[in-house]
Amino acid sequence: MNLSKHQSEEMKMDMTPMIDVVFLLIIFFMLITDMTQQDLEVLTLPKAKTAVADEPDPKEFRPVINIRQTGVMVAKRETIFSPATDGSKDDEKDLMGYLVNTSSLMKTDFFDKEKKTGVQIPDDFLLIRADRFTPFHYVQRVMTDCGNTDVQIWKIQLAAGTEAKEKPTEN
Amino acid sequence: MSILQDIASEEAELEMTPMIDVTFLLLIFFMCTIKFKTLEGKLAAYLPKDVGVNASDAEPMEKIDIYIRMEKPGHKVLSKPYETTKEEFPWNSIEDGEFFLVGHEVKYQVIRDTFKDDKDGLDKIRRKLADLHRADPERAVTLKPMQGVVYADIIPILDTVIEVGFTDVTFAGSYGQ
Repeated sequence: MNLSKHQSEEMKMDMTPMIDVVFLLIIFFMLITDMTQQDLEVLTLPKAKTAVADEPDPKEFRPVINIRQTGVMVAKRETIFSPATDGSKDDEKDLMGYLVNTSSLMKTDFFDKEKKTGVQIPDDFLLIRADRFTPFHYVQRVMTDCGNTDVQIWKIQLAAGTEAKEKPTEN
Repeated sequence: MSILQDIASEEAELEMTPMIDVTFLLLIFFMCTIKFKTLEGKLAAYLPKDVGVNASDAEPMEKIDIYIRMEKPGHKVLSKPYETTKEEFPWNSIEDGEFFLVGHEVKYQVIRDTFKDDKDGLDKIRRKLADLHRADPERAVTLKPMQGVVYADIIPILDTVIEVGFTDVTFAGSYGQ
């Protein structure tokens, strides 16, 4: 008789500890996820001593162009330039479009800051990130297009890895 | 009376299944999008502003020209054998594989003197640039990369120029030159 009673009982799993753990995991990931890093491709950067730490303000507009070893340029996770591999023309239409759009979103200032007259040109930095073995002419390609009359970006930043700071030695 | 009693005695149960579903979806989203913060910095430089449509009538200033010329192109060595990467990423071609450049060499020409791209060469450049900076801290520096140089050839010289104290650093030269 007792055995039949046990069989009729419904098995219930206590979900509370699992939900607790899952919530803790979500809180952990929410805290450590930095959305400003989403535009950055995985690249091996050369190191520099004087590189200023890259700490972007999430509220501020920050244009970034990533250039892979092959010369493929990626901005906001979209390919904007693909170099030709078979001797034909580079696929570049999106690069100019990206730069024109970026330039229009940048803060502007007068070309001659002292006179405060004349043409206003973009006054923000464009961050260029390239792999250490990326041929530099691809970076120059971006620089050349920056000088286009529809773009006129003249401030650039080149990304570099920061070297670990040495501890001061005691004398 | 009996109906009311029944309602009162019923236990209020919260349906947890949709909440757990949403929670798991959120967890999967965060786990997929996570990217750990990397130690990264940036070096500021400028492009020529006084050319093209905005050309100004400013007095020409004597600039320090630094040419970066390739001496040896080096050869590409895949960081992983192509067969290994082909197993991992079958859609990648051999050109997509990450590579190292072995035997790649450049030379830096600061005004008329030429230096190697090793530590000793960069130290000599640093000393020469420091002398030039002492003589005129406002002087502009122009980096002129020639064909065949890679990104890692530019960063050490730009780093040295900024380390010495020059603030007006410009790039010259264009794609394909």
